Amino acid sequence: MGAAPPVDVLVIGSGPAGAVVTHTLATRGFDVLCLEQGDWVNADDFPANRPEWELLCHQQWHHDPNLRANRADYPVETSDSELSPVMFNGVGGSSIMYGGQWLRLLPSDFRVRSLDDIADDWPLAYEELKPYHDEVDRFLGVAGVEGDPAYPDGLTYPMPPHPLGKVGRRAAEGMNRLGWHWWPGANAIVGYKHQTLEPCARWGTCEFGCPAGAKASFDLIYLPQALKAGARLQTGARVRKITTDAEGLATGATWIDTDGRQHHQPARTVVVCANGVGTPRLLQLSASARHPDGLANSSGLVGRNLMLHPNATVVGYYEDELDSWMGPAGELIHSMEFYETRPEHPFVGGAKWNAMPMPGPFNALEAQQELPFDDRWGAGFHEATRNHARGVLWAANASDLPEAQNRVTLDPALTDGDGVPAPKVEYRLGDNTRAILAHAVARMTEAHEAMGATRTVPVELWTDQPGHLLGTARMGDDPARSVVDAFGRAHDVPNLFVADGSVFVTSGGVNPTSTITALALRIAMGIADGAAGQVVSKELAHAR
Amino acid sequence: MPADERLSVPEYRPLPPRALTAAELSTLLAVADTLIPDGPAGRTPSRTPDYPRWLDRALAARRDAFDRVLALVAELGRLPRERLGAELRRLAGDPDSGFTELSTVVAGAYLLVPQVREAIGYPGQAHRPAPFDEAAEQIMDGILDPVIERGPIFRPVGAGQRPSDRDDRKDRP
Repeated sequence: MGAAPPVDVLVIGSGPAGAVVTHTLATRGFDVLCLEQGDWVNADDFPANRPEWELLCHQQWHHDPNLRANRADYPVETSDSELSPVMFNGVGGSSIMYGGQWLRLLPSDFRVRSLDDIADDWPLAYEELKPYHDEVDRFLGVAGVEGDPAYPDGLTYPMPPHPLGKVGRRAAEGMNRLGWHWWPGANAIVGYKHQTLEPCARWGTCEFGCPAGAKASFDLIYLPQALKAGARLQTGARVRKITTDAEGLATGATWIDTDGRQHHQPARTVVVCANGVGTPRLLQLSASARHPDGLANSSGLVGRNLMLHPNATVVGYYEDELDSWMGPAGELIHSMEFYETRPEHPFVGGAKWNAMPMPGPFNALEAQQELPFDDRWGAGFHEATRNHARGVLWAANASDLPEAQNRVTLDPALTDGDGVPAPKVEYRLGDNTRAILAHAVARMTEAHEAMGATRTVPVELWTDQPGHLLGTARMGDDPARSVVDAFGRAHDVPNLFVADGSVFVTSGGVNPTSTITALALRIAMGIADGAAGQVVSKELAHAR
Repeated sequence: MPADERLSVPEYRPLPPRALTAAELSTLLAVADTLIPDGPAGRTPSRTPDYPRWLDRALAARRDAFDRVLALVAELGRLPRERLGAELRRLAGDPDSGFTELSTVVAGAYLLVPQVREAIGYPGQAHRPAPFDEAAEQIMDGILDPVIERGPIFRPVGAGQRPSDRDDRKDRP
């Protein structure tokens, strides 16, 4: 086992949360090391650079790590789950494969218990998080239009919006016919050169990597600035365990390099940013005599309350050409019409919708895979491919409620390439979520009809989307009902923090990365502001 | 670990694990022709120039399915050609038959042929920056006015936020 000098802060994971934490603390003068199990991805690696990009996305660049099975990936046991959680393991984390849709939670999302008498309230409010959102948005150059009536006053964007395109215009016109809310898309995709990002070139393949370098994946922004500020990034470092001392304080982490050698990195403070599956896995892997059920798990809630934001979609096809191969994708428009709880609905919460293009002729063919053989092949093949530029995708991101039985544990048999126990996901859709999805499919079909669709193709549940991994180390004021406090500090381990989507109390229904990064910034600034009084292991208190 | 091995990115390979035999290619062309007749996108795959080259590319992209596809091709190659259509129809009804992978490769290859892409009007994914005024033109013509006129729709939770005036509305038909 190699030895290393201690660092002030050890960040585990280089996705959006890890990148923001690493940058924030490095610029505040701390000695920060970020450990990442994967490595860098280059813009020319992405499948969109090849004509066969759609086929490459079927497996080699699939969102599901179990199908992709790159060396950096770890297996996820999902035989007891209705959904397969997706993620990307590399520098920048799952932001390599997200769409950059950049919406904030609404005020009501932080008060679900107070308003709907279900789940729990967050230990912070919309207004408390807003300044951190604003700062992250400025840093990223988020593109959008201010004045969205779905949000309180004061939500502005530093970059102008992207074009709606023919797809977005068609969707907006239909929503106007119905009198339903819509608004131009908010995307962490820059239209103009901004910091280390290049202008959007509308490749349309945002969710499989941006060849232009315009999408705010966090290998392209925040991490470069963090490294410039003096932070260090160790790639190929799979963390095996967070180590603790006799008093239960974190002392660092043991990690395994690509040749299978173990190292120990001492650290005064440890921040876990390994996503809503990887973080509870690591906390459970870090069990010790003092923490027999896993680190920071005296509440028994580590790994529980997994929320995955189930998605439903309805694709509509139209008579006229809509240039559906054109990006960004990203969202062209979104709708919050059915987001908030309404008394007439048989569910609480709702869904955020987004309209997107449908790039690629093979995607058009796949959209009719449920059709009978004769409708899909022969003349049906030509009909499908003729429609490839005439499709509009409405997708609904359903709010998901925390349920204790939906959880991440350690699988007793399955291991990763280093022999480390793999996570097991148990997840079943709740009745409330299922009702939201059914409602959304009916209403999205109605929206397509108002838009003039000639044919609609509903999918009531996407089983391999999205990568919104939330709730498995929830925050709260009560140590018996939460894992970390409102600043991400573990109730049980005062020098251990969690700063990723695991800390969500409820899921809301919007794409979570905006909230994850605002929380990460708030947590990192809390660590910096509280450094003088930070409790650290005696083993490291005086080591430099 | 070899110095050039990537952790997070698959190695790009434009060719399949091995070259197709003449018999395998013949069967794959027959399968492709059965699924894709002459039509607006072009002629059948066997009469489309360069289709075998793109078939190689498709098989390389789905190298995970290469063995499964070729095993099914071997089975189909033993059938009289007049029974191929009925057999493909039967296989399509069985999710574990390998038909999904086989049809993905033969149809995916066809959609890679430049003449086919041109015929269906698919320009491919490419660098197409937007004109600087396009976004403004598309939202400044009044299309947002109805949304703005309806006013706030968020649910109030405390002081300082305007209440929604739409909380008691019903879903519109």
